[in-house]
Amino acid sequence: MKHAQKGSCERSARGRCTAWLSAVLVLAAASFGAQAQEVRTVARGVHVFIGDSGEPTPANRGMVGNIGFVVGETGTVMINAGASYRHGRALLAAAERIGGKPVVLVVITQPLQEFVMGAAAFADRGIPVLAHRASAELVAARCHNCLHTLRQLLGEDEMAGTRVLPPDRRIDASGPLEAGGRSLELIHPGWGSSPGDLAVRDLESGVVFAGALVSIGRIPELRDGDPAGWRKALADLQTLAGAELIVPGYGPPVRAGALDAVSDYIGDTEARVRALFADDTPLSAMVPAAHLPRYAGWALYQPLHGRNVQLRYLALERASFAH
Amino acid sequence: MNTLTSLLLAGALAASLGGPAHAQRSDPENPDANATWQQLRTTMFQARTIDTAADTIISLEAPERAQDAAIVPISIRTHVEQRPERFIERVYLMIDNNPSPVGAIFHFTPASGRADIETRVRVDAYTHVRAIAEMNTGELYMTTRFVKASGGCSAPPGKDMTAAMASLGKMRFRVEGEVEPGKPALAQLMISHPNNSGLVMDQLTRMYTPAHFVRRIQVSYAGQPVLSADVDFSISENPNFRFYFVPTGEGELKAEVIDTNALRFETAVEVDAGS
Repeated sequence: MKHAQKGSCERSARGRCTAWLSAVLVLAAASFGAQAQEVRTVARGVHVFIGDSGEPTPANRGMVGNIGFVVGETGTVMINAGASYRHGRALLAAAERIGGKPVVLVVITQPLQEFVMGAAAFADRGIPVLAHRASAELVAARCHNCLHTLRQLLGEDEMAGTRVLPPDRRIDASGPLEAGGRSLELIHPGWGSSPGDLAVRDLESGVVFAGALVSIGRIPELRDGDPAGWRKALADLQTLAGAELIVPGYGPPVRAGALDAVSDYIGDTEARVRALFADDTPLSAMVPAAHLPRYAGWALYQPLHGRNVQLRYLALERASFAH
Repeated sequence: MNTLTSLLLAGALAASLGGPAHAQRSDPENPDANATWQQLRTTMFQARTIDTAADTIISLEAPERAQDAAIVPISIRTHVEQRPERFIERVYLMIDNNPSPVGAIFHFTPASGRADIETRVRVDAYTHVRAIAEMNTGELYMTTRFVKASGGCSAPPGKDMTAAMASLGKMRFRVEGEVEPGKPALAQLMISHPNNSGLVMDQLTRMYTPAHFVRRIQVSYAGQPVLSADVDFSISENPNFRFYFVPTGEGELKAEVIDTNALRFETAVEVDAGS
């Protein structure tokens, strides 16, 4: 390793080499049929399948967003389950091949199709699937619609065997998690990107898996979010991670400082929508009026920013009836 | 049952005879070819001529690709002065591939000033959306847009569901901008209402949420009708209408809303246009 190594091995207060692989260490390319998905190792036993940052398409086969796994002495914990039954099976096989330990648990960070649709592949092996109660309820309430849409979008073949499986282990609050011989911490920061957000922290490396709470270089989806709660959750994650890596739901692993831009996007969008709403701007004029050039280069600015603007506008409108 | 209610029912019937609306495909380049539209055209307008080179009379703004299929903003603008001798008497809003394609029939008068209307609709599939103006003298003008919209997991968490039912029938009604006598003024009516179509199944209970939607809206200014509308569940939840009226001095702008459960809601705003 030459320049790639520069500055990447910083010793933390505890004297460990915390970022030894933060540059680029592609351990393996797990094969998913014809398409390979990149795997990065971010610390000892801590790995990430890097997913696409776009919308699900036949080309990316729905494999949107990052999926993590942490390998302990006796077993492996998956962080999210993938976008289809087939994807879930492939993730399971790749994680066990790379880590050499059986998968013993799946943690769902948010009830999003790219994270939950592969759950049945794990359940069929008897592997429990854990989520916050609010996430599990949302999966049950609405993921049938998503599956229907995904079948149309990606085709029956790609989605073969996929079924909606609400997580069977449900938690209500933050707490420690011992699994596979490794100590993890589950963090529920409150209603941030969704009512049942979970982040997962590996105690050995300090790496934090943030799921959809963090979206790097990609517009965050505000549909399920609470803007103020989300910004607070981001601040909490920054404190929690300290100098260690944060694995986002979308985009490359980052340091805490990179979360500022995510928080800015949420705050700037909310401020603009509130100002336009207060000014009696009709819904039909909102999308062009709420254009934010600073974020126009992020993935999915079209169509997600417009959708976010409309959703926040309608939320303000609903709230106005309550007075 | 008045004629317009029968027309709305006829529209729904035509659609049901045409088979499942979802199964239909629309050719963006050929708005005349849609089978639902052909049936509606015969039912509602018989052999009357419909002028489709209508840009000088009526235009329709709709997003090419909807942000959210459940709430698609639609803006109908007209370019005819509402004079007693010649004015737009009705505007039909149609969505070919919806389960009930006749979304709304708006009625205007010379006291409307302008026959513009802005609202939000549900769109079930890729579809043509039509706005048809009918003059008091009988001529018909149609403008068409193709809208791409489809469902996804679009339902956000039910944070506000209880609040939504608690505020059923609450309305916000206001006049925007400076009001001058004799000059069309813009008003906005917002109704808190789930506008349930009866076609949506609760995935948890496997039960259909019963149909319950706003059916009719009547707005008057100083006792004179300025807008009335026969609408159905193609209109999005929390129905929202922006329209014009001509203030003449002091007068009350009054709205009355009736839903399918025969609930009746009223609201009014005092307008002082000086004189």
